Amino acid sequence: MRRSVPVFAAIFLFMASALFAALSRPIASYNLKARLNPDEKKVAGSEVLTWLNDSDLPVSELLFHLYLNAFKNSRTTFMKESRGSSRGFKAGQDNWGFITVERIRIQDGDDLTPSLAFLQPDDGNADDQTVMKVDLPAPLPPGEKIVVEIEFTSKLPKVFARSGFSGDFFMVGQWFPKIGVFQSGAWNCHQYHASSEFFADYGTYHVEITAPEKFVVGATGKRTGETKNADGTKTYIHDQEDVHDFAWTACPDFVEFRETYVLDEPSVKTEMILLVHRSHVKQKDRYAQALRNGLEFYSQSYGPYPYETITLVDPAPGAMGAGGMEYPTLFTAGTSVWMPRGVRFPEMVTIHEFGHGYWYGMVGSNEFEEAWLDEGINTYSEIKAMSKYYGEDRSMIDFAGLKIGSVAYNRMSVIGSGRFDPILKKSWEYISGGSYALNVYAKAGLMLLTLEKWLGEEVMSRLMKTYFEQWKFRHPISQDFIRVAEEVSGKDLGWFFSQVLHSPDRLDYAVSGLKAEEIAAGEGLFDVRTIEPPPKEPDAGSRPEGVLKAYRNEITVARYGEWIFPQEILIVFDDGEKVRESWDGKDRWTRFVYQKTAKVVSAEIDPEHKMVLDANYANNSRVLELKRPAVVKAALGFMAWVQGFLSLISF
Amino acid sequence: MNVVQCAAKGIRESTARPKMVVLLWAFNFMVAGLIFLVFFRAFGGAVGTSALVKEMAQKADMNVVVEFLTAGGGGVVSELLVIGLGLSVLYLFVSVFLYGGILQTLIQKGGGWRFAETFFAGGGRFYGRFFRLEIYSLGLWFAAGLIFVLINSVINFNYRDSADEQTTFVLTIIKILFALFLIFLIKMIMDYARILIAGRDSREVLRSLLEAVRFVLKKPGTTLALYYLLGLVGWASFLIYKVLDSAFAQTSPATIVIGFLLAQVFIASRGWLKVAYQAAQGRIIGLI
Ligand SMILES: [Zn+2]
Repeated sequence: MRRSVPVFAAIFLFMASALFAALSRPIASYNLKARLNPDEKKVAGSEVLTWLNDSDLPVSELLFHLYLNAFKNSRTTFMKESRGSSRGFKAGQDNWGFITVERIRIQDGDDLTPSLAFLQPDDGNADDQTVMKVDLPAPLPPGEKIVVEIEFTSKLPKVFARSGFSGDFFMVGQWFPKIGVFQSGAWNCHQYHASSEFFADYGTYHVEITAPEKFVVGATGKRTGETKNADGTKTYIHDQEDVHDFAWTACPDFVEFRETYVLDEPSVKTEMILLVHRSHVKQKDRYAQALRNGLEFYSQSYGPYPYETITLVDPAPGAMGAGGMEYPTLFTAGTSVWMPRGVRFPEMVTIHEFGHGYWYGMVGSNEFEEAWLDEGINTYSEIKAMSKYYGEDRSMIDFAGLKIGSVAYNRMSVIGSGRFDPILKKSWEYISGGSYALNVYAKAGLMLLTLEKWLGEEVMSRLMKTYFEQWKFRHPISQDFIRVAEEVSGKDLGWFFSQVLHSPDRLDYAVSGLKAEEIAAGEGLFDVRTIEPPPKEPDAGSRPEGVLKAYRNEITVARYGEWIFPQEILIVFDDGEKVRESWDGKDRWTRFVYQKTAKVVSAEIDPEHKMVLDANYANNSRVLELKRPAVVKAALGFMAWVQGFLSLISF
Repeated sequence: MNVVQCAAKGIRESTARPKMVVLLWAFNFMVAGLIFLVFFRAFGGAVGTSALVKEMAQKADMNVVVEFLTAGGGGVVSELLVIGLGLSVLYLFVSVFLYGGILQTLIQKGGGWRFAETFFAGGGRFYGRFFRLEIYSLGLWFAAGLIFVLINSVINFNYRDSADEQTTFVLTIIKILFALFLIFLIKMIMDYARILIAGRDSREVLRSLLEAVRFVLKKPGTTLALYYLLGLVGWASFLIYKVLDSAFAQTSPATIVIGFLLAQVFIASRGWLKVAYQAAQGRIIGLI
């Protein structure tokens, strides 16, 4: 038996290494030091970046994102594009944000600073300095690593878009020179746009943050050290593997809550850290419960949450611009002092931003180029989670008699909107920020919900799990998602995705006509018996007068939108008979005719409401007669309301 | 006579005139009835033959509301809004007439005329004067706006660096309450101005308005107390209505009708309160 011992040892070693190995392949690892100067709203930083050339080509230049330069002046690409949202930005010496790279050099090697230049790969805007390039003295061969040292200073802007300060509150995101992604033989390093987020490679982060002692500090990853300094500051050390970004926050008014979250199936254990601004402390339990719900839902639906911490940041009042933003193992939520329980905005934001830990954090798709892969998939997940925990018909709002569910909430924004853009487009190429949001969030979310109802919940669940499993800690593109969807469902889904991802059109099927005409006993002259499709059972011409009435029932269905989906139609007759018809949905209309002793009562296209994206639910069904009591009730209710209004204004 | 006695007197006077209350209700009903027809047609046309509406009688379905709001690219709803706005303006003109009728009836106690004659004669008689009064009152609205802007900027200046959301929230509430106070103050002054005009059959509209302002400034405690005391009665009737309305499910045709009738009783109570206001305030100023 001794012989077998080495085999066991080998198996054990293999298992152990599998157990403790990093989840991702580290491409870009950072060693950062940051010192916060709260008076000047500045962070003095130093960075040691270890970057692996994971491609099969030599690399002769390095490209970095300098995101904070988006806030440097009024002519940056971000500011030009965001005229709308930058209205909340008040120009002033203190309010601009920027990042200055003082020195960049290869460790124990050449100074690269002289070659520093700014690039504008997306729009050629010379006033935009959000992408920096340095030349390497010699190309870096494939498979080799390079270590670069950078000294930089970040001036934080007055917060209005994700990052910045507001009074004593600091949300420090996109704050250090961040290397782009070298992909398919070229740098993928876009400028910072008004409607776009981020893209980066995975790596290991070791970060030392120094801030005045009175600040409560939170950051990506696990806290591995904390020391008091002689100058009245404190240094916090955070370490995290398998992430592609690092953000931190500091505010003296945070109240910190910690709770260990444990889930049995699948096995999850993580530390929940809630940094709640003191003016919102009463809502701490709402945040905590929403986060527990998020951890449970995503772990069970996609895969166990693998990190040791999750930090929720509640931005200070007046810093809502920093709210609702995701970073690895840390996210910002948002609420206000007065937030009725039935208005589940804090819950929705918490679940959504936590969910980005999966769709963005772990599945690292390119937010610049295919934002639906994180926002759309995450909106779909959020809708499902909200419906599960807060009730399908009231998950968003359940207040003062008004109930709105997540699906209705998202449908509202989609069906009332213009149709300018498809779901799949580069983030800055949409006609407006509104069109970007509408498409990559709500429309993409509902598109996946439609797919779920089409494929069935069980298939969709397997699809999502498989996609997560195959693409976690990698950079999938839309085609990868489609491939997984087709493999798991065993169906050709090209027709589905080519419409919903690439066409800005809409889906709208309707029952456009419903008729039941009594077939009169034959009158006049009949030479031929082929008027209309010849009557079947019972024969109209031969029925005994006055015994049984016969009807010609006509049900017309129509396609009002451009998208084509196969449809089912449920037809109900007054003798209780129900008939199901199917239609490939390709023509503009089609008609079903029945000659029966029964009269058609109602017809409904898509009776199971699988087409969540259908732009008009009301025309999906039709009854033979106007629903008078319901309409009268609505009209009476409205009239009483108007009466009250009139008596109020005339008093 | 103290404030409570005046309020009680006003309520008695109003209660003694059911015909007038019914007439006020009828005007409201007629104007709003137009909106019923418009809404019935629009709603029935947009979603009325959809099976979605099936359960509407049982519960409000958000989907129906959404479909209705977006029907015809929102055209149906904006048409409804335009008509609603038109009706509101029409009703404001009507209510100028109603004030004349109310005051004439209250002043001409025990006259030989029949109620309807008195009411309509009063409405016609004072219409021109009350209408001019509305135009002069624009000056008051302007002044109130100015005061509000002034106070608002003083508050904003003093709390400009406040990052405390609690304070901001409380300040917003205070601002809203202050705006409401100003609105009710002007409405009260207008009541007194109309009473002065009708009570003395005066043709000097502007002078009556100024006198009303002077009267309110001279007796702010009494006038405000009376106004808000009757306001409480209004709130009480609203609460009673809400409690009764939510006490039973309005799902069957019969219960829907009962719910609607209840709403009509509430609207009538608004007319009743309006008369009570005029009678009580007329008593305090010594003209009714
Ligand atoms: Zn998101």
